[in-house]
This record gives sequence, structure tokens and C-alpha cells, in this order.
Amino acid sequence: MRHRLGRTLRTPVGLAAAVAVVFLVLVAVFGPMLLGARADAVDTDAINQNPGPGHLLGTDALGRDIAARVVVATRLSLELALGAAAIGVTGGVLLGVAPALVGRRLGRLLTAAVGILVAFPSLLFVLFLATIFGVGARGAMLAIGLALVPPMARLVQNLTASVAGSDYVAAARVLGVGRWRMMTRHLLPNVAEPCVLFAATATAGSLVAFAGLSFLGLGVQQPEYDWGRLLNEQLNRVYVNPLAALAPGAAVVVTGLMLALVGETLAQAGGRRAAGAVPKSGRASGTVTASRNIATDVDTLVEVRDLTVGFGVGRAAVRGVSFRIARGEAVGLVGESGSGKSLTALALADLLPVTATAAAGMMVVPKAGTETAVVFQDPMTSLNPALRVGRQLAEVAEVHRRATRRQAWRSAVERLAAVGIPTAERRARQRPHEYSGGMRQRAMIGMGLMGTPRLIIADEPTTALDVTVQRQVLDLLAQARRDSGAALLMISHDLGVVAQVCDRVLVMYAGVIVEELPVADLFTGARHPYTRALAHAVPTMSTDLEAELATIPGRPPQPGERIEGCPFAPRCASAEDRCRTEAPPTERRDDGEGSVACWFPVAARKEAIG
Amino acid sequence: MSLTAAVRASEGARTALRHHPWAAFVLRRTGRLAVSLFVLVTASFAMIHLIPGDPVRAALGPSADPGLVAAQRHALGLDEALPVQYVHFLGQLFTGRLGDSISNQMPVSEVIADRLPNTLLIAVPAFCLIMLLAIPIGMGAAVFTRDGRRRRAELGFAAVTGVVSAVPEFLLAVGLVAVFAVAWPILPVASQDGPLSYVLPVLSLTIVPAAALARIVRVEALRVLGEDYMRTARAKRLPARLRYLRHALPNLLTASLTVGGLLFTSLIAGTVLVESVFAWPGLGSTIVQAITAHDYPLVQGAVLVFGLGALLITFLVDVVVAAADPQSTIRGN
Amino acid sequence: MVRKTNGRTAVATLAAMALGVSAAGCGGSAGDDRGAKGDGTVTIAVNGDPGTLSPMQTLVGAALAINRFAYASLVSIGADGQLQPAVATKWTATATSATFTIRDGVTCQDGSRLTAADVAAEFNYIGDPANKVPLIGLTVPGGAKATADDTANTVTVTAPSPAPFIVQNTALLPLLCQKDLKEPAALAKASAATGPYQLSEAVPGDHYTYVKRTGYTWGPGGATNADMPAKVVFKVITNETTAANLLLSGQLNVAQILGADGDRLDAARMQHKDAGLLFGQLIFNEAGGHVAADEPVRRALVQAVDLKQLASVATSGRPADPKHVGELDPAPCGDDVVSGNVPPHDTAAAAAALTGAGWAKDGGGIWAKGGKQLTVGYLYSTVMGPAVASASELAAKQWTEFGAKVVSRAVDPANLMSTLSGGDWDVAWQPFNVYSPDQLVPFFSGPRPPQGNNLAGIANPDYEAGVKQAMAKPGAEGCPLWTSAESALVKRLDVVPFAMNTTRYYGKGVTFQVDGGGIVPGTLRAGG
Repeated sequence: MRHRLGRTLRTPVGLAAAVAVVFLVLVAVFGPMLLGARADAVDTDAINQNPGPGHLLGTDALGRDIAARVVVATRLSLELALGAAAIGVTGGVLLGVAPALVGRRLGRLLTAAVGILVAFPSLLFVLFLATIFGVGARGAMLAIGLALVPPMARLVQNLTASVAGSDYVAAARVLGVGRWRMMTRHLLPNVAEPCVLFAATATAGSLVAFAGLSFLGLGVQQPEYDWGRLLNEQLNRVYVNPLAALAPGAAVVVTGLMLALVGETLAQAGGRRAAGAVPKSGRASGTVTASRNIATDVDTLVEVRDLTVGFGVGRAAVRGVSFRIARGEAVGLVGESGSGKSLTALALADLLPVTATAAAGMMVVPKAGTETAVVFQDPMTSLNPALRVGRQLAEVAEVHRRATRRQAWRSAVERLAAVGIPTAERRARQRPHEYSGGMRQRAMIGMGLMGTPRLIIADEPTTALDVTVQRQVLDLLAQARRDSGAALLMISHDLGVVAQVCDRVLVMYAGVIVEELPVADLFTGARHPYTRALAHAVPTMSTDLEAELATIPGRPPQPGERIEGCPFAPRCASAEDRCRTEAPPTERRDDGEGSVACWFPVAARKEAIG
Repeated sequence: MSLTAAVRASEGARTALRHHPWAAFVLRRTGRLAVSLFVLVTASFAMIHLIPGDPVRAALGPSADPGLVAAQRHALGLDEALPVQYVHFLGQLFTGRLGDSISNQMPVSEVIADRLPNTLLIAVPAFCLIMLLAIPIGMGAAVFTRDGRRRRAELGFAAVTGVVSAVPEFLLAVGLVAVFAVAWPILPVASQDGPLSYVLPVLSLTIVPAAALARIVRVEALRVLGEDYMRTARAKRLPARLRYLRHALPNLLTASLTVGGLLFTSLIAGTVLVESVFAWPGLGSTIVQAITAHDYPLVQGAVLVFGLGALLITFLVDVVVAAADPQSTIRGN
Repeated sequence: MVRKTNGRTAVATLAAMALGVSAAGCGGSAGDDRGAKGDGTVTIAVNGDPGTLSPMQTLVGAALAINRFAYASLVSIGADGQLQPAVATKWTATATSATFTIRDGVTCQDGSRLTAADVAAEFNYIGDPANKVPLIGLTVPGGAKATADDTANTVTVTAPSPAPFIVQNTALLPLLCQKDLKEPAALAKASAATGPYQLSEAVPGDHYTYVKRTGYTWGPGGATNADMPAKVVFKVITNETTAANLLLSGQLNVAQILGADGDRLDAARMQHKDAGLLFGQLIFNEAGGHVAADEPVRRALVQAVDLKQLASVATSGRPADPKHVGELDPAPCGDDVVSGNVPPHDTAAAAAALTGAGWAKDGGGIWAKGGKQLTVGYLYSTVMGPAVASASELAAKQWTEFGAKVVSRAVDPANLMSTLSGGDWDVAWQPFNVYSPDQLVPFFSGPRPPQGNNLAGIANPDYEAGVKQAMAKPGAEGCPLWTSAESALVKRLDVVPFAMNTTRYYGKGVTFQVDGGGIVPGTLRAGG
């Protein structure tokens, strides 16, 4: 945090915030010392004067210098705002942390109490408390401070609830760490950053609230004065001496902004929005820049040459991928996470995030939307929770087939029925949250089939599903392909799934295709050591996928990492010097049934030996 | 509707409602509303008794004439035992009576019935306007600056909304009058005087919260735009209009509605300042006058009405949001 | 706005006497280019909601000013201070009684005739202390009895003790038909008009609309309401700056402006009518146990503050010296009772006065006597406006510098009466404005609240003796006696008047005359 604060302070916003804090502190400390006497000097021969050489902003009803009073009022205005914020934050933290420390029942009661208090508008709170404490600065400070307690407590409760549920707090509890220690060691440090941000916002809010209360005559009373009371006095003369009324108003606004700036800076330092975290995009859009040429071959549905996808300058994630998919063919794209397989698929579907830049020497794909259907990994989040499922299917027909609402709805229901949704008529009217995971994935597939797909891109379509449901979804995909005659590009890190569905497999590693092979060769005839390793690590029904794959020693290179030679070389058991210095070219296999990029393909080595 | 009745109803219906999560949620939420109402009523009763010393002494001064104090105490019913007072207070509430105002002897319920509509007449249009401005602006800003595009526009948006939301509402109100009613007299200066006279009070109530809400909406919209289902919409090649209006907006609305509900409750209270500037005969200006005048029955009544309004609105918002987005709300609760 | 931005109702709340005293030198038209609305509607600002409008229940200045449009009076006082016939065509008076001859054809709002019996019933109603009508003692002497002679159409009212201004004081008496006396509370937001207008719409806190009655011929000197505007709207505008803006924009026709906004209106060449009021006056709580019960303390407090500065601040630099303790100009008794009787600003003399009375400064520089510090509970009404709030701040500052502990309190008009009656104060900024000296007597002598109106608990033997003698003389004959009685009051520093102020009524598109009680209804004309 300290390190980040230092870095944030060097940003323009951070610098401005630092200057603002220093400025406010200086004015609050030295203003009353230097100008206090001038601000209190009564001169009944010079009352209500307009700005002039003697008085920058004119004088008030007692002939006192308004400019001096605005400066001097800084201290009290800030004191009151900070005081109220301190009361609010302290009370809020205590009340917010309490549920995590006291017993379950009491904790629930406290949470419920805060939930009820939060529902009341804060100004109502302030007026209520002002009635009890009476009109005046201290009463108002207490009132505004207490009004801040419920929202602060709610914030802290939410934060501590998530922290208290975390593993290390559970561990600490098992180890018998005391409640007090638990709070100071584990809970408070973890909620500190949002609390600091809240405190800055609360101070700015209190400042405005005090101005309002004093304006209404409920805040600071004479002879004390804050900006609100100066406003109250001078707004009556706004048409006679507008500067005198604007000055305290401007002080409130500018100080509020300064405090907001401080909050922003602290938030950035806290890493909630670390400075410069948003990547800069070279090009404005995420679409692939390539000549979408006409297919060279009537049989070819997809042809991609030298596709690169990257984020920012030199952070390539896909480094020159070329492949083709024939009509009706099912192709698997496999590889570990981060191999670039999903980005390749997204580039094909023209769905790259805008921050990505992509380019290709050649790119032939069916029309996105109508001719390309996409099935995503997580059916829970890929359907719009706010819309009826039927609607989400029907709109495809409405937009692309110009169908009427009624026709589109009917075909959506038919499609849902076709992908095996029972009582589709009723289900179509439901929202996604009423569907099970498998049904949602069926609906997603159905959505893709609303057009006339010639290509189905399925990105890990079964990963998020139960094993039993996986089977059904795969069957459905196969059936859809049979019915529509579409080609399939199936992205998966699960070779077993790919083997079931696909004709041909592309293996990606570190942004390049290292091997292309017929599915029959996947487990027995792979040439690339990486494909071999993958095939070797294929999980059985009971093993954890990620854990098994991790059995390949080492880690794949990060996107953008400089690679010399074969990218797999550092992890390859049979790598030699050449592998580490020279990138292997992709070469067709002798039988023409695939290709491989390896200086020492497995089968070839066997031949050499044998 | 009493608390116990709500609890009993929820128990009886629990099994039947297991398959209707939304209805169960509404029932639970109704229970919470009942508890909140109880808290509100008790708090407003307690208010008078929480005043240090005693309310009559607070109004008349600590060394006031004992005879006068006794008479005033009797008039307010403060000379009875506390439980008796409380029962009396509840009894009056159920018959819609809130006592008489000390300053003008009118029944508090009559004063409120007089003033509340005037407050709503500016608060409701202001609320609609806030929503109509903040959501498109916030969403537009999000679309325009998403994924770190157009950093300058983003900074500009942040600066403008930041400055505007830091301006106290009454100051803005005075400024609007100075510009649009005095310097360039196209709108009425103040007071309820034909349709045009609503323009400035409503704008004064609208602009500051709209700026604040637009900031929230932008952040929320950025989150929605990054959701997987927005990628699905892109995959379907829907036109931008449909993607933003049909797919992003409803998801944005549920979040905005929650914030908006909170906003509306504070808006009603916020009319206090604006009503003062525009000589608007609403409940907000009434409550302030009642506080300075130590008119406790009136303060009590106004606090009850404002509080009740706030509770009902949050309740309605919760129920509507639950209907629109049952998954997150009900699970969240 | 909470802090009422005007001192327009310096007369308000306590004894706000609507008396026919036209300000001098305000002839001519107050109109200008933009006329009142075409249908003859005139909109007049009032500075706060008048509360109840029932003539039998209110003493609030705003309500009295509005009721002048709805209720007729027996006599009226002209710009020259002379009595004019109104509902009474003629009258005779003795030291304790008066007989009025009632005009024929005067009607109440429902069309019924206003008879001598009605008027007698009203005298009897107000004069009976049991009915607790606040007008008692101000319009009708307490305990007065009236009888009617229906054939001669005359009313004779007799007071139990001498009542020198019994005829003049009826100028304030709003006439009602007998049946409307039965339920005075019913007139809170309705009218039972006997005057030129009747209430057609009441929206408390916002506006009150009055429409012209037909057949009104009993105005002062027999004037009718033929030339008066068809409709008069009283609009509640609490903020003076807002009122000024509304005047400039033409949304208002008449508003009272005291403060800096007047400069703007003057710059816009808007016409105005002025009425002088007693604006700055200190009263001291002389009830037992209060420090100000001792004359040296009062003297010290008066000399410790610069009253000239206070006057200047309170009137935004336009002060005038008062001559009376509350009678509006032209007062029935014109002699100056103030000049020379109020000691000048002199802190040394103030300190000497305290030292002489056994006070000494303690270690903290605060005056103390017998272990008790000099604590001054100071009170002023928010209705007096921001200028008085500033002047009060100055007074508190000067007293504090002098060595007193000052606890300053601003009181809402709604609480003013109860706070003053409650007695928890030492010094109050509180002027009283009335027409005749006898109307002030209940405020400066007699029992304290709740039995009487002697808020400050003043017991000045010279004043009481002088009043007794003066009351015995009819009308202006008692003036020298009144003058010496009131001088005694000021000399002993029971009341310290120090500032007159000019209330300005700015008008746009209308002509009118004003007096101490507000706009004179019969002089209001729409159009420039």
C-alpha cells in the first residue's frame, strides 16, 4: 500500500490531491492566525460594502471583511466535516465488525438492525437528531456523524463477512486466535482501504451537509461561523454583491472536490483501480484486420493464415496460426489454458475484446451471426438473466431473417424443443435462472441453430457441466451438426471430449499450432512431444482436470514472453540445443494426414532409430 | 398489519411457498417492513422523550415559569406515565391523528395533507427526470469510453459530473434563479404559479443527483458491458441498438433501480432546501420551520411521513427488483 | 427560509396594531410600466403565513393586515391623524363611554344586515375577559359593556374606568355579525366579511385569495370599492430576496423590502411607499432574581453597547432616532420622551455603574457579585430579519468585551410569546408598535403573564401614577401627563427605544397608500 501510494502520488491526480491536502491544512491552520483579527473587526461605518480595494469581497452587515471570514471559516468547516466523518467511520466500523465477532444470533440481529437503519434517508436522520440535540454546531456534527453510521456499518459488514468467510480467518479461528486479536490482525486490515475511501467521501458529503444545515439555520450559530453560515448571510445579498455569496459557495464546492480527489487517490493507491491498469489499445476495434478473401477451394469453409492476436504492443497471445476447416468437418482445438486457443476461436467469430489487436494474412470464415454459431463455456453467464430464454432465441430470427415477432417466437419454441428442452412452450417464457446448467447449454446451442449455421464454434462447451450432462450436450452438438451439416470447431483442453466428437485435432501451444493430426492418431500416433504429454495426461472420470494437466513439468510461456527456438523446449524431455535456438517449421506429415512443428517428431525419431 | 400477524402468515405459508421463491421473498420482505415500521413509530415517539431535559423546557428555557411548563406539558400529554403515552400515541396513529401543531394549533395530519402533495409534485417529476437523464448519460458514457477508449472523454465526464455533484443543491437553486428568472427572465422566480413555475424547482432537485447517479450508472454499465451475455449478443450480431437497449439496459436498470430507490428517499428530504429557496409550500420547508419553532408534534408527524415514504419506496424497489432479477436478489437475501 | 428576512412585522406577534396612520409625503402613484394582471388582480406579498385569520383569535401583524381587506371598522384614521366616519356615521365620547351611530345598509358576507345589536354584542364579547380575545384592552377596554338602541341605530359602550382613546381604538376593531361570534375558530381559514373583500381561497403557507364584494359603500368617509381591484391575492413569501425578484419579474405587485434588495429595486426605478416603525428597543426582565432587576445593571448594559451602531446595523445604515416608546406617527401625543433620557455609549460609565452597585471583575475578567457572574440571557426574534441578527451578534460581542457572559438566543415568532412569557431571559430586543399610549399600559405595568401582558415585569411607580392621572383626561388632553409617565419609563431604563426604521412597500403596476398597519385597502388601485 505504501509503495503504491508513493507511485500514485506521482500521477497527475495524486499530485493534485497531495497539493490539495497541503493547501487545505495550511489554510485551516494559518488562516485564523493570520486573518482572524481582520475577520472579526467590526466597522459599522462600512457595512454591506461592495468589493473594493480595502475589501476584496466587500463587507458584511457588521462591516467585517468577507474575504477574511471565508478564509478563517475553513478551519471550523473542516473540523466539523472531519469530526462528523470520524464519528460516522468509527461508529460504522464498530457496528460493522461486531457481527463477525459476537455470537451468531447477536450478529444476525445487528446485521438486521443496520439493514433497517440504512433504509432511512440520511437527511431525515440529521433532522431527527437535530431535534434531539438541539440546533447548533456540535449537535449538527453529532447528527451528521451518526447519520453516516448505518451506511458505513453496512459497508464494513459486507466486507468483513467476505473476509470472515475466507480460509485464513477460518484457520486463525481454529488456531484459537482471540476475538480482539482477530479483529485487529485479520479483519480490520482487510477492510481498511475501502473504509479510507468511504471516509474521504463521507467528509466531502458532510461538508455539503453542514453547508445545507447552516443555510437552514440549523447548523452553526453566531458568533461562530462556517461556510454555510456565511452563505446563509450572503445569499440574501446575492444580487447586490454576488461575489460575497459565491465565495463561500465556491469554497464548499472546491473543498468537496479536493476531498473527492483525495478519496480517488487513496482508492487508486489501494489498488481498486490501479493507475495505468487499463491497457492501452493500439487499434480501436477488436475485429481482425485481414482480407476476408473468397475461399480458394469450394470445399473449404474456413481458411486462416498467419493469424496473430495480441494485447498492446508486443504482447502477442496468438503468434501466427494457420489452418483450414472443410465443410461439415469437426475439428478440435486443444491445449492448456493460455495457449491461445480461445482467442483463436474468438477471432474466428469476430468476438475479440476491443482491447485486443488481431491481424491475419488471410481469413475466410462464414458470415458471423447467421452462419456462425457460438457456444460458450459458461452457460450460467452467457444467457442474459433479464430476458426470457425464448426471446433471446427469437430475436436472432427477427434480426437476421426479418421474421415477425410471432413467427420468431414459434421457431424459437420449436428450436428449444429440438434441442431437448421439455415443455418448450412453457420453458421459453422462463428466464435463464429457472433453467439448470445443462438446459442452458442446450438453449445456447439452440440459439446458435436459429440461424443457418455453417460453422459451430464451441468453446469448452461442457467444462462447466456435470459429467452426466456433458454426455448429453455432446450428443446434442453431434445431432445438431448432423441436422444442419455445419462444421464444428470445438475448443477444449479435454482430449477425451475432442476424441469423441471430432475428425481432426489442432494442438496449440504458446500461441502456435504445434501439431495437426487425425483424431485416430491422438492417443497413439501423435508426433509432437507436447501432444504426447497431453494425451498421456488425459484424465479418467475421477481425476481433476487442471491438476492432471499440471503433471507436465514446467509452465507454458506467458503471452508476450520472448521465445527463442521451440516454445515447448524448456519443458520437453527430448529437447536438444537446436530446439532452444531455432523455431521448428510446420511440416506436412508424410501421409498427408497432418502436420507437426518439431525438430524431432516422435514417430520420425522412432523411424530414425528403428 | 401487525408484526405478529406477518410472522404467523409467513410461518403458515412457508411450505406452500417453497416452490415460489419470489413470493417467499416478498413475504419475508414484508416482515422486515413491519419491523421497520415498528422501529420508525417507536423512534418518533421516543424522539420527544430523548430530548435532554424535557421538550417543554427545551422550548421555553430552563428557568421558565413552572406554571407555564406544567400547562404545556399537559397540553402535550407529557404528564402521563410513559407506557400510557405510548399506547395513546399508537391509538392516535391508527385513527390517523397526529396531534395538533404547537405553532398554529392546526391538526398535524391536516398540515401534512396540505404540504405533502406539493413536495411530491416536485419530487416525483425530479425523480423521473433524474432517471431519464442519468441512465442514458451514464450508459452513453460507458459505451463511449468502454475498455479504456477515449481517456479524455472519460476524464471530462468524471470532471463535469464530479463538479456538479459537489455543488450544494440550494446554491444551484439560487444560481438557476439568478440566471433563468432574473438575469434572463424566461421562468418564474418562485412560488407555485402555473406549469412553468415547476421548471426551476424540479431542475434544482434533478441536476446534482443526476450527475451523481450518472457516475454510478457508468460504472455499473461498464460492468454489464463486460458480462458474458453481452458477448453472446455480439455473437448473434444484433444491431448496437438492440444490444444496448434490450440486453444491457434491463440488467443496468435493476442495479440503477436499487440506487434510485435510495435516491428517491433522500430526494424527498432534499426538497427541504430547494423548497426554502423557491418559497414552495411543501413538507420539507415545514419540517425545518417546525424544528426551529420546537413544534414537536409537527416534527414527529413529518418524520413519520418521510420515514414511512422511505420505507415503502425501498420496499417497492426491492420487490420490483426481485421480480425483474429474482436470481441475484433472492439469493442475495 | 427559517430566518425570516424582514423586519416588516416588527409589529407582528405582539401588539401589531393596524392603525390608520398614513406615512407622510407619500402621495402620488407607485405604479410603473408593467400593470397588474388584466383581470384586475393584485398580488401582495406577506412575509410569513399569518396562521389563523379569525379576527377574534389573532394579533399577528400579517393576519391583521390581511383582515383589513375583509372586515370594516366603525371609524378610520386618515392620513392627517383625524378620525373619519366609516360604519359609524357619527359618534360622541366621554371619559368612560362612547356612542356610535351605525350606518344603514351595511351587510355581512351572507347578505344579512349589520345592526347596532351586532356591534354591541361584539363589544360585550371582546370586553369579557372570559372569552380571552387578544384584542381586549387594545380595541375594547377590559370589562366594557355595550347596549344597542335599534330604533336610533346606536351603540353605547361604557368602560369601568376612564378610557381616553375609546373611539380611536375602535379603528382596529374588525366588525362581525353576531352569529359569527359564536364560532370564532370557524373563521381561521374563512371570512365573514363586512369589508370590501371576502376570502375565496385559502391555501395556508402559500396564498390567500380575496374577491371584491358588491354593494360596499361604507368605506372611510363613505367610499365604495368600485375602483378597487377585482381580486387581491396575498402570497406567502418568506425570503426578501425572492420577493424582490418576484416584484422585478412582475409576479408580485406589492412587497415590503427592508434590506439590501431595496437598492436593486431603487436601481430599477421602482416606486415605494414608506411607513415608519419603532424597530429597535431593548426591554429588561425585571422579575425577581434577574440581574436586570437592578437599575445599575440596566444602566451598565445600556452604556456598554453602542446603540448608535446597533441602530445602524439593524437598519442597514438608515437609522432614525425614535421619539416614542411605541406609538406610531403621527402619535396622539407628539412630545419626545426618548431624547436625553437614554445614556450615551460609555464603557467607563458602565463599569462605574456596576462598581457602584457592588460588582467587581473576577479572575476571568467577568463581572461578578456575591460569587455570581453577570450572565445575560439575550433574546431576539428571527422575524426581525438578518440585519437584527447581525446587530444582535454585535450587541453580544460588545457585552462580552465589557465582561458579561452572554447567552444569545434567536426565537421563532411562533415561540416568541411563550418564551417572553416563560421569563427565561434578561434582555430582549422587542419593540411594540401601537397607536395610542393607553394601549401600551398592559405591557409596561400590571400583572405578568399569564394573568397580564407585563412581559418584563416592570413596576415603575412614576409611570403607574402618571398613567392613572392621564387616563382620567379624555383624548389628547392627557398628553402632557402621558409624556411625563413614559419619560419616567425611559429614564429608569425599563424600556430603551433606540431605532426607528422605514418599512418600504415597493409597488409595481399598482397605486396604494400605507400606514403602520400595512396597505390601506381603500387606496389600492390596479394599473399604473
